[in-house]
Amino acid sequence: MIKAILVFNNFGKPRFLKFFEYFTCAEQQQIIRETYHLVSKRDDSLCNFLEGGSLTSGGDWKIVYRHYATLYFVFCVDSSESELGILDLIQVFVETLDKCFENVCELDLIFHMERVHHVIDEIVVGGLVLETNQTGILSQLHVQTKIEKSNQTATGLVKGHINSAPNRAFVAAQSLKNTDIAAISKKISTPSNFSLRGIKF
Amino acid sequence: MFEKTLSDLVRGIRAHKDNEPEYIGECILEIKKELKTDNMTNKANAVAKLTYLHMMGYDMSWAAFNIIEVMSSNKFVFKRIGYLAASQCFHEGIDVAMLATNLVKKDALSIQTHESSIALSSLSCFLTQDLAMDLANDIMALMISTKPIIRKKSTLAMYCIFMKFPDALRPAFPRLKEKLEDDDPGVQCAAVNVITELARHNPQNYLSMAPLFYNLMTSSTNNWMLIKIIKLFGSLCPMEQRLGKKLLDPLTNLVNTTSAMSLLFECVMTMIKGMPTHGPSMQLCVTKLRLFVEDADQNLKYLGLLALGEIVREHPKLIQPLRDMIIDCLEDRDESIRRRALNLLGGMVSRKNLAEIVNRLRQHLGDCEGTAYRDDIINKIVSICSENGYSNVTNFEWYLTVLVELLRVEGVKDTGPIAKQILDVTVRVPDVRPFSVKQMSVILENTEVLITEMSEALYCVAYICGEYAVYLDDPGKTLMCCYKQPRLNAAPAYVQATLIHNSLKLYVRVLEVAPSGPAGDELRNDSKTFLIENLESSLQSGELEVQERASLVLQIVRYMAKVEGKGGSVLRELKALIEGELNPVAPTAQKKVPIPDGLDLDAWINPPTIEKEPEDMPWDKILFGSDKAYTDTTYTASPDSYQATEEEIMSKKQQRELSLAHNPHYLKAGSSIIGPDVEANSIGTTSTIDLVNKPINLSIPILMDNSTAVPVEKVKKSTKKGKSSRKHKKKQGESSEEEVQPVHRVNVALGEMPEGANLSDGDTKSSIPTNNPHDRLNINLDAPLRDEEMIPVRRHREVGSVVEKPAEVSADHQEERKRKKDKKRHRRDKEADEDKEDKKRDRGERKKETAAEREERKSKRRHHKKEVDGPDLIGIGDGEDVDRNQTEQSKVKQEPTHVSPSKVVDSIQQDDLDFWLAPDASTSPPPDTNGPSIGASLLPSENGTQPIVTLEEDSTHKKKHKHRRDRDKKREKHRPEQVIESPPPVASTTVPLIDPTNDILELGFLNTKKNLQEELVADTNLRILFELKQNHMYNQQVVLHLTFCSKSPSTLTTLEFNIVDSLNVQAVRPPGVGARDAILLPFQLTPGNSQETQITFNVNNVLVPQKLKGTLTYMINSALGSTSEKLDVRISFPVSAFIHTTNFNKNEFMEVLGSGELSEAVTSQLPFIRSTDFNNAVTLISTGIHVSVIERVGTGASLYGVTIGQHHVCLLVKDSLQSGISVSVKSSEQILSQSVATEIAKLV
Repeated sequence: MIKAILVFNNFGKPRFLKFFEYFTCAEQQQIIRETYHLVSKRDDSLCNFLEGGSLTSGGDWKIVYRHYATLYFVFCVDSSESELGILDLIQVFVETLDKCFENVCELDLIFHMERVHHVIDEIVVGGLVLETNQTGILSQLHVQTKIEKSNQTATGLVKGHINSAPNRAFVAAQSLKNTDIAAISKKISTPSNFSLRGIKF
Repeated sequence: MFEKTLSDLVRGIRAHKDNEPEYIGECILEIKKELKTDNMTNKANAVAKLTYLHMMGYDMSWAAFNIIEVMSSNKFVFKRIGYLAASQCFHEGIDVAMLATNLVKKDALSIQTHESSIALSSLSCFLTQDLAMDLANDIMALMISTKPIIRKKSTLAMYCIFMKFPDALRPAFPRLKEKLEDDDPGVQCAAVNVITELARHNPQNYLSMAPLFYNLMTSSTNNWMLIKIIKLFGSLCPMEQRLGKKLLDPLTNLVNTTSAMSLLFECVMTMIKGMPTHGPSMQLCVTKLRLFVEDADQNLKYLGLLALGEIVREHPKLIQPLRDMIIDCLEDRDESIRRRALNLLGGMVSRKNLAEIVNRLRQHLGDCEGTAYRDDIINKIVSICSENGYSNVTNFEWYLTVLVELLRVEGVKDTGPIAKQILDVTVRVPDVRPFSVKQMSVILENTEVLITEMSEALYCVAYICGEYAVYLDDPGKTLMCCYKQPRLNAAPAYVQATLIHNSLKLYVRVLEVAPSGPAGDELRNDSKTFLIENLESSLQSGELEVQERASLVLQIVRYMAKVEGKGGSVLRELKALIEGELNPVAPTAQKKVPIPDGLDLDAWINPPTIEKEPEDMPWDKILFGSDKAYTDTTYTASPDSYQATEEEIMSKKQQRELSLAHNPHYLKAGSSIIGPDVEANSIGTTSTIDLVNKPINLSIPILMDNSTAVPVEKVKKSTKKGKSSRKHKKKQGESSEEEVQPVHRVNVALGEMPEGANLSDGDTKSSIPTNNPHDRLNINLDAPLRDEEMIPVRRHREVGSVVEKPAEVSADHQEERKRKKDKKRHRRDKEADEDKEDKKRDRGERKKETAAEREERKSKRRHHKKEVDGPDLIGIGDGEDVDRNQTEQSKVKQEPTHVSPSKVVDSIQQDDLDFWLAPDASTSPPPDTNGPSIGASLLPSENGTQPIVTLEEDSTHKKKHKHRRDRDKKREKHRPEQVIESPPPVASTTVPLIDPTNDILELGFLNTKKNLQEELVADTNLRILFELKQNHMYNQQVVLHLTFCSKSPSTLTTLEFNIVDSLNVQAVRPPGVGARDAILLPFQLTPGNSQETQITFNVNNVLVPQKLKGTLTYMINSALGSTSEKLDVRISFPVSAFIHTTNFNKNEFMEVLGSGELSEAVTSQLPFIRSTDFNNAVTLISTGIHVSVIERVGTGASLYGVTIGQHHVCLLVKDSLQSGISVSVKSSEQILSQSVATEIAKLV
């Protein structure tokens, strides 16, 4: 099974943590540090598998990682996982993130850590691999995003906590990727035009 | 007010790089404020921020309660924030997590897929034991959700449940097994994933599922799932040799065809694990792996080396050609690869190439970096040389030189292993001692070498120089060097103590060799003053042991000086003090000390009451009583009195011996003297012989028993033990002890053993109960569920005003809950006063409970407490479970009851597997037979061994089929008493023309040919093969499997089977088809293709062979038009089709025989010619009639089978030399016996 999924940057700053075995907060940080220490020394041309780490040594604990630009994606697995399989899974994970964030970069992960969690929740459950197909993962995420959006428009939770009704329309507009008011009015007007035309014809 | 959002927080943290902790501290204060507000938005925001901080290393479990609040929000966005936080920080230690139980349950069961989905994802991260217990049932219910995503997630979540609550495994397993056949491939994959994970730790329990997975493997194309299945087989194979053979073909096929490297690699790994003895496939693996290692991709290189490491254990020769390649890998830039290569080298060492490989490693040591890696290399050198009791080392002087050189390598962190190795070699190989001692004295003289990092080395150097001082050229000089070490005081106490102690040995040696005369006197004097000087300084040491040793040696030296001053000499006594050789003590010696006869360690040492007297009394009474009776009747008085006294003496003596034997404090003198001597002698002689053969060799051949040869690490440990024990002895005891001990000249590889220890018995690891959930998951999954085995259901407490019965239920349920709570509390606080708290809690419903009930509960709790304390709940809990069952009858039953003995199922499963694994599939009963005793009561899903329908191309068929089966199941649940409820009568599959690996029973007249199905009928267009199997689900049913092979160039359609039912055999027709109507087969036959179908028959009379007639009509659709054809079909059911084997053991068999039921016997003679045919005959009969061999003694064998109508069939096959082989058949029915006998006669 997968024991942990870690994402940290070139300086060892954690960007995403998910443990499927319980470790205290301090232990988690220790694992990150150690893993960073092990992984960061390694040239990109070296192999993507590592054994060990002192906290977890003795146990069945293998590190499978990939390095993308400024980030390290590390999966800590035991011997029941296929090394190459996990390597592919990391690729799937990152590609999915790329689809979710549109050209994912470290900043996306910093500011939207929870979305990374949502992605992982659709890939791994309790340390076992749930889905390896990107479209499968994305379709699940899509459903959630839709509900999220409808929720947000209902409550007005986007920036600050503007709860008042008059602001709702504005917030809804903002949630549509900050397009300006003109664009929105255009969007609103277009369908009405259509319908008008529909009546005409 | 406007709080910070998560983004603000992140920005803030990035802005405050210098004083991050302070900033975060402020933020946390703010968050605490936000959490106190009533606004859910604020709270959710705060929790989101906390989750972020948690990632940074700031614990957030203090906010657990708030997290639950956020989780309970009905807004999905908030809920998700809550669940995310929970999954990140909840764990077993958080008490409030209990509050979430209902919430999680509600969300998981929500009709909103997304809610259920996040709840399941999150749940699997923070499951605690209690949560698992409470939620197991609900999660299990979700496994049959209509939404694939929920099914998938809940299946995976079940794994987490099993880990926390192993008792859930058995009740949930049938459903998990069902999921393997789910419509959705993702769910299948999840189920495979879970089972693979479970089977990795307890493979033996999942062996019976091998056929199922085999079919999945051969039909699936999903690489991810294939990898998992192949991994699963990798863990199953070591359990069952035959499985490897079975897998050989498909795996080889995959290896040769697949393009996915990951799959290829897993196949190779499983082949290595599964068929390590199969030469050609290993060769294939090596060839494939060579490609891996030579690949430019570092990942493949690494994996290649990893897998080669597995092969090398079994087939070092296969790897030899790759040696250079592997050694080159040692120079790789990548440490992972270097380590793997290093590992591999270890396996490749032989006597011939040891020196070369070690030299390469030493070279490599020179130019590599990283202390950890250096240590690894050194350890590797040590381990490859010491492997198998130094069997590869031919020249120990060379080896010592290597070791000494390694000591000098700079930057070695831990010299311990090297030092121990030097010591070990020196102690074990007497011939190398002079060389070793010289080397050591050189090291000692070269003070620069010995800095504190090498204290281990100093320890061994000092010990060797002291112990083997006889080989020293100049002990005086060495003695001086002992104390010349710089920073000696910084060395650990035990090193200093050893040094001091050995200086005494050296001193004695100096006195011994010093020539008489003035020169000698001077030497003696010098050494003495030198020693006294240094010892006095050592007396100042802060270490107790150093002080003690110094003081002891000092006093001895002073005493000697005193005696010598008076003109005497105590040299002889001194020599005696240090005389004798020490041998390694075997690591298992302590365990192997035999328990003296009659010593009962569990017995009272001081019996609470005096039981001695009554125990002794019978002795006397018996003796005297019988004696008197004896004399009274036969002898006269005078000899009687004399004899009586003799008897008395005898009895007294016996009594005394007995009491001595019972006395643990009494050491038996005789044996203790004889034991070691005998042992020493025998070993001594053998070792000398060995020494003669090889000039420099181990004097310690492993002559005891190969199986008990101790790995080197253990041996090393043992030497240490020996030393420490000696140290100990010398410290407290003085001269006499050493003299009394017989001198052993033994150098056993095993180390010394206590006398009387049984050397051959295995060193079984003591099974220490662990907390590892996998140990608790070691559960037999094939046995049917017992009543009491069910997942606890959380129910609402019902108020007493309702009807009596439900109230009872709820009371019981409360008890159960209480028990759980107790358990928890018990864990939390063992000392808690149970009764007191009990009262507190019970106040509410106390009135309702009668005193008896309370008592019962108490006892149950006591009981339960025991259960909790016990190390293994499942393994031993059977009896207790039954107990619980008695008191908890009213528990709601979820599964149909199963009363059949688990053994039967076990054996059947075993048989199925045996059959499936049998190489030519013709030696055992059909794979899908279940015992008649269990047939009707079995869970529909128990029939795991039924090969799943190979993936169909025609999905509509499958759906129909499934649908029908579901309906059947429902119906069955609805009316459990209705026994003959037919399974789907017709099912069809498309398979390649006769798959040789298919599990097919060859029926009817056995022949040794390998055709798997018999031909039923054939014409120019069509060939029909058939086989008969017993239905695993229903009694009295036989399934006819038909394979239609098209020989025609045109398509055959509208195949209709018209079967004329007889009185005893009726075909089960699909619903809506009348008894006289033809069965339309749901497929067409395209040219060259084949189709399978099955028809189920109800059999009313299983005692005699049955026959049925029928016709098959079909249309030939060719370009010219269609024509109709007709074929007559005769189906014969031999009696053996109704008989199957069970794994009866001998006792059960005897019981059946002895019951008197089997009154009808028929004996027939078989015309076998020679008695050598006997074994063949037995095999022939057992396979032909489907009976298993219970016992085979000389020229007789008893066999046993049971019909699907529950008739026992016992066979006795005897070889009566002249007249061939006689078979007598015994059963309860004359006609059955007769039929079986007839069929046996036909077999031959």
